[in-house]
Formats: sequence, C-alpha cells, structure tokens
Amino acid sequence: MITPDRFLLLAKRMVSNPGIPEEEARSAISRAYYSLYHETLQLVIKKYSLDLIREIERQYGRQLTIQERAKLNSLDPDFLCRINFHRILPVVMRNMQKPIIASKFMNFREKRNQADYDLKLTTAQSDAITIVTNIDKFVVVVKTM
Amino acid sequence: MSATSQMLFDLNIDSEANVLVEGTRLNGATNHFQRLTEMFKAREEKEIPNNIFFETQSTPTGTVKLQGLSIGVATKGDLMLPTLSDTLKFEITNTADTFIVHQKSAVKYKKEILLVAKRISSFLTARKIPADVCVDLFTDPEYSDWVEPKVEIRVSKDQVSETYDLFDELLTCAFSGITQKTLKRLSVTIDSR
Repeated sequence: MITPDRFLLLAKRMVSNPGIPEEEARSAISRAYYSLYHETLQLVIKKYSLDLIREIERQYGRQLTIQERAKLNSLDPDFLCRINFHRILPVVMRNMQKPIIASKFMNFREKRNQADYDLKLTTAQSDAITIVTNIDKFVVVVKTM
Repeated sequence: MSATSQMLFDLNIDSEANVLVEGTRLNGATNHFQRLTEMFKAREEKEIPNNIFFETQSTPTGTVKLQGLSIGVATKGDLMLPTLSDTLKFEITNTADTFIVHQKSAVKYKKEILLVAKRISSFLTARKIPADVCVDLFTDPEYSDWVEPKVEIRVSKDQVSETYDLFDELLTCAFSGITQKTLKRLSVTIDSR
C-alpha cells in the first residue's frame, strides 16, 4: 500500500528540478494536495471518527450502517468514492472549531482545482514551489491536530 | 451583544498617525482605552508600527468604528488592527452578494464576512503587502453543489510566499470574534495577481 507522504515526496522532487514545464508544476501542486487530503482523511478517521461519521450522516440524512462504518474505518475505496471527503473534511474541522486549519485546507483544494482545471491560468515553477512548500508545512500541522 | 456590557468606542487615526481612542461604556469604566490613548499620544513616532494590535481586554463586547465607519463587533480578547480607513479596500462580487443575501441570517452573515475582508485588507496594509481583497464564491468543478463564500486575497507574484508565511496570523486576526456559524461557511484563499 502506498502512503500519502510518497505523493508529497514526488511533488517536492518535481519542483526541485530546475526549469520544469508548466504541466509538471501543475502536477506537483495536484500531488501535494492529494498527499494532504489522504493524510488528513487518515488522521480524521483514526482520531476523530465520531465527528466524521456525524458529519457524513448529517449530509446523508441518515445513519451509517455498521457495515458502512467498517468500510470507512478500513478505508474501503468503493465506500470512500461515494462520499465527498474533500468537502466533508473541512466541515469536520470547522465543527471541531478549527476554522484556520479548515480555511487553509480549502485554499489548497482551490489551488489543486486551478492546477487541474484552469488551463488559462499560468502556473510558474515558483508558484508550485510556494504551494508545495506550504502544503508540506501544513501537513505537519494537520498531523498534530 | 449583551445589553449590560455594550460599549461604543471609536478608534481614530489622523493623518499624522496619532491614534485617538474615545469610549463611552454603558457599564463600567474605560481605563484600558484611556491607557491606550495615553500610550499612543506619548509616542514620538509618526509612523504606525506594523505589528500593533489593540486587544480589547476590558471590553466584553463592543461596536467598533474606524474613523466613524462601523466595521463590526469586537469581543473580549478580540484583536483590532488600527489602520487608516481610506486604506481599507475590498470588493464583493455580485454573485457572492446575491448568494450571501439568500442564506439564513443573511444580514449578520454578510456583516461578518465583510468584517473578515476588512480585517484582511487592514492586516495586509499594515504589513505593507499591497493586495486586492475580494469577497467571491468558492466553487468546485467536481462537485457542483459545493458553493460557499470566500475572501480572495490577490497579491503580486513576488509576495505570495510572504503572504503564506503570514497566513496563520492573518486568519487568527480576521476570524477573531466571528461566529462559528459564519466560519462554517467561509474560507480565505491566497492568489497571485
């Protein structure tokens, strides 16, 4: 099984090469965000599963079954794909009265969306370095949450 | 706002950066603000240091005005950054405005979002980081129903990294005293111009 930090290592490796093309700069931002996403998801499932389940149930409008809870805890990919954790994770952080962490997470989500969808935007290597570096620092903060 | 602990005070900064604090508290004295006034009057510097905040230690709740312009509510422990009001610049897009006014408790929601935007503008101005601050909407291309207001900060390319370094401090200042209800539906983003 691959671990989330490998995505971040790849992103850092990509931006450390001089003169990378824009597509690599964009890919680095995307990889870094997904590293943050998976680190956060794993941490929340491990330490704040009740908060997470409460928010999923609120958005679903029903209680999760025992089987669904088991799938969540085991990071079952089919189950995870059915839930928009990108949106739920910052909501859980906000519910935990951590609006700064939630806002920073949302900021990096937007950077990833820009990197993957906004083709008109010019993404320079320096932009990617700034974002990857800050996601790297942010992951450390999230891990101590 | 509690009726017994309300306080109305003005933070005024004149063209020479002298800070004038005037307060009339309905329930108790305004010693803290008197001290602040004296402290600033005693200063010889004509330029406001970048890192000065007013901490409203003695104010349970109060309405804050900058040069006569009401900028919102301060609560105990709130951090207020004194800034010339004419440097407070931010915009709100029509789509964001329309979205916000159709939400529950729209008046308070909008007021708090605008306060966050003003604080961000104020914070960055004090740090000498020219920025365009705009209240807009966060939308996600992968989830069409994911829409919420955001305060977008646009700075020059060479100051993006510096702004990120201040991100925690900026958000702490901007979110101080803002209700959990508003913070559940608001984010702040940094972009380059």
